[in-house]
Amino acid sequence: VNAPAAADPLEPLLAAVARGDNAAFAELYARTSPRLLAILRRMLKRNDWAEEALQDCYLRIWRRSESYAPDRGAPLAWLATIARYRALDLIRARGRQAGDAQDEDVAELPLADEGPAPDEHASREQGLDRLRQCLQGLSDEQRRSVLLSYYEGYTHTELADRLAAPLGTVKSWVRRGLTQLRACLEAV
Amino acid sequence: MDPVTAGEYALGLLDEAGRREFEQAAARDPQLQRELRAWEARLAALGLALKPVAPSPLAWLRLQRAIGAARPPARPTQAWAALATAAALLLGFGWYREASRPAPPPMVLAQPAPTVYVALLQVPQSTMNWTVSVTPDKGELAVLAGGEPPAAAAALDAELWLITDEGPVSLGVIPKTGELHRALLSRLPVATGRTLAVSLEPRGGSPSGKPTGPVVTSSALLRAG
Repeated sequence: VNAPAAADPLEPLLAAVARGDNAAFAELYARTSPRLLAILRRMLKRNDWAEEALQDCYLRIWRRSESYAPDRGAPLAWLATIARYRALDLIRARGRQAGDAQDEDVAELPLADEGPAPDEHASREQGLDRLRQCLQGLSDEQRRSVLLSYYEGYTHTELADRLAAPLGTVKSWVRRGLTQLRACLEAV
Repeated sequence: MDPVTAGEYALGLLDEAGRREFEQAAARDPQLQRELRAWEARLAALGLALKPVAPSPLAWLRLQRAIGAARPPARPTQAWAALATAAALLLGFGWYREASRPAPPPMVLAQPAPTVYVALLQVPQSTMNWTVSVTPDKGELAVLAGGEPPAAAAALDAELWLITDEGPVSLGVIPKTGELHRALLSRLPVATGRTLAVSLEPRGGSPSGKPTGPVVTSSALLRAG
């Protein structure tokens, strides 16, 4: 889908980890764990859960219950995906934690114009710029729906509650938003 | 099932029945699987846009322990190797400091990592050990106890000491299981090579302010970042 232009330094690292190389694993952890922890904390709201989930992600990687293949996208994107699914599992199993109001404020989302500057390295390498452009093309409701479901891990029902809108309406915001997003991202 | 459903699945929007339905469809539809992978990669950019958060220094040691639990018993040298790796990790933490990287983002420059010292205190002829990290700039002490506390020490408390030029200074009673995070009461002469020691004391710690019981382990602090 998005073939990396240059060789990603994380690829040989992941290959070494798959061979059981502990030093490579340590380096992978050092380089990537702050990224994964950011996602886990954003979604789980609780530090202890986030660190527990972080450990679980790296255990899976080390024990190869998750394995990387180039068709999974860039290595960092693959790692982010593992973290996010892990957070979703935890939310489903343990219930949702109420975050503080500021944390849940949609204005805090890093893609909002007034939001904090995203990491430039990630922007360039992980296609954030492009995604941001494409998100700008969505209606406010569509964008909000997609971003809230990503960062909060909401189901359709929870999203409808949060947005105080009928379920059918929210579902169609998401579907239209995703349809448009996909078309925009594929049209390069 | 259409490509957008793969996106809904990747986001986690579907309820349990919807997820099962999607998974069954994807199991026999390679195109749908590719679509799911594509959505995962597209959406990952949102997560990677968040400001990175460094895990606590002990998180790596816990991870190493969890990995070690599934392996043959670790020799002491392996424990030291894990500590050295932890130290290297803290040193390199990481990602931004590499010479090959472009200039670090301002948010990282604004908060230089505080100096952290670590020590692994292993009790001989026992699996009991403590991993200690001291962050003098922030006045923080973290202790992670591991292994089995010796039965002989059940009625006693373990007390941690920093050996200074003026003699041992108590860093307080430390747990024999679990972990402890504590503020350091005063600025202490913490430096590489300074010795930490653990003695066994009556409940509540040494009554005299100096070690009274046997010193069961000691180790030098190592600068880790």
